[in-house]
Amino acid sequence: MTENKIKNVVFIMLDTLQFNYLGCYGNKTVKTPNFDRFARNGILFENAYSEGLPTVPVRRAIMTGRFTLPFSGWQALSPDDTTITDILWGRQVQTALVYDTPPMRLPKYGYSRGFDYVKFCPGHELDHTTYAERTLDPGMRPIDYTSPTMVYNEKGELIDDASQALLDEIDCFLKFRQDWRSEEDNYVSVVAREADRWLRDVRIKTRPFMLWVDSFDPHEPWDPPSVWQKEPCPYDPEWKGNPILLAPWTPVEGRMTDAECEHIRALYAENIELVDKQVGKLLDSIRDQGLWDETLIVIASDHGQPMGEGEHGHGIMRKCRPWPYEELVHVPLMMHVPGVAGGQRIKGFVQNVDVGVTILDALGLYQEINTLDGGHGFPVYGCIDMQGKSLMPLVRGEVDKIRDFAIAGYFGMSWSIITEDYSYIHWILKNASQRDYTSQDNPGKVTMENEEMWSCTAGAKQECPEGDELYDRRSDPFQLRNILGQQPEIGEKLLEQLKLYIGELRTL
Amino acid sequence: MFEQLTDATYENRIAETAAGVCIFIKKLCPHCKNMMKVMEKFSALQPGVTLLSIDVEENKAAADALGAERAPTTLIIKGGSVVGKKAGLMNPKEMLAFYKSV
Repeated sequence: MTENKIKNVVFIMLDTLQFNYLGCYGNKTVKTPNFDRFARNGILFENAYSEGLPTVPVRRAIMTGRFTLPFSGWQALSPDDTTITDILWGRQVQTALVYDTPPMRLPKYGYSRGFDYVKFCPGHELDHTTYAERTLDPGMRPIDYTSPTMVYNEKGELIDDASQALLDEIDCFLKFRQDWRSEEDNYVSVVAREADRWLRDVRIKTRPFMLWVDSFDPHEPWDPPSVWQKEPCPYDPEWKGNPILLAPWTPVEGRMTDAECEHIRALYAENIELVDKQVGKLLDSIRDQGLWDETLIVIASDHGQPMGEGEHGHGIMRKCRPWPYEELVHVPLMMHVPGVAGGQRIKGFVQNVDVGVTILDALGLYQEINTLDGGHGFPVYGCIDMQGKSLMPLVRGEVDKIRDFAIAGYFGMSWSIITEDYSYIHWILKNASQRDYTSQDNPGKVTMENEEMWSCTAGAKQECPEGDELYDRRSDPFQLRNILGQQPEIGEKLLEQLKLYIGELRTL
Repeated sequence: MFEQLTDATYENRIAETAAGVCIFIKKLCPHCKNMMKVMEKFSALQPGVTLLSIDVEENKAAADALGAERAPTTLIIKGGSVVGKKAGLMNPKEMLAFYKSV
């Protein structure tokens, strides 16, 4: 039966891959033939949402199968967390992590914990300072890789602290990239190649495996091949300005023009094209090695990216505000499931926290045990602390849905609830007097005290809009017209539902 | 599973409880219902603990005397005395850690 068909799991996580930039999610411009083919032949989830943003909480939720939003945000893994690798320890399934996502490798964070094989590919953002001391090719100047007006004012002075920081960051990236000779040197190309190398040459072929491939691309810097080949970006060929490797992490108003934001989005799209190509090569290799029919393959992203006004980013560039809007929190999620017919598009809500549970369930290792002695005198861990739900019954058609709604937010700062008809955003920082039950005491301020960092973006500010927001999801999925004033009763009901759910999660 | 206390009975009942937890609840409060589930799971992790509850709306004297301003509020009782108090939510593991810490 289908139950025994899955021997291995390959989990491919792409950072900052916005769902609506993929052809299989309706985008008509960006070329993603490999993702599209994967979705056509497999299962695509139309309404997948990451619950706690951004990068680090998303991964902790997947690794622990627990919601992060009621508990903590950008934090290291603690000894109290039980991860899927903890559970897979001592089992036949060998584990491997091939990644270049630097937040997972921050000091003391421990996200590579428990993997049998770990390969970190260097140089992406938050690992860029590793290269700060190198000598830079004199033909490469940081100011040539961003818009001067984003950095200098009319008098030629640096606009603010963010300006110099931006130039310094670009300087580090150039010091790494000066060795790139072709698109095969781009970050995602290296990660895909290393993942394939593990599959072909390193893994123990007589044992099943769980491979986690974590590509930080297409996260900024916006460095697709056209930038290095000094050719027009195929998605914005008329652009006459500098390439924009990075932009300030600020609201766009007064700092970046619409044309600049559009060009950034074009570079981002070109990066996605490369990501699609390299993931496609990896998928082809999996098939080539005869592993396709016995391997569950999951492709996901942690979040999208604010890049401009309106539906592009609600006025900010990069994740410099804790705002859980659609372009950020609605994520792509696709699966190839041996034994299950492809071509399914599942409408029901699912969350990132369900993915880790699904991986274990697919391997037949979802057990609600937690014994200290597995019979050999050492700890054996089970899934007793997990809150996520397996997606296997959903993909097998045994159930119609597993969730009636999704939640998303930034711990201690913002919560939102997404239903079929509405989305509601609640700003905790502004409304800290309400009994939000995130902690014993004052919800927003106290719980944020221990989190020095909550976003990969250096200039991030904990600023939120004035009041809560309600949106008609069917007519306004990208949340541009706040209707809370017109429908306060619906808002009230959704807020109540949101608080009760967070409260319930808090007790599990 | 919960023995319900009142203004009339709480003082004596607590005094004769060697090991127990007491939760202040409101009838219609969903957070309280979730906390009662937490208590039940906790008692499986820590057998021998008596489970008590007090309706904070009907027993204001008890609530005042024991310092329960909100529901849910959880008290830890050891050797006939209240040794710990926490308002708000927690999960069974946190409850166990709290019980052991006081």
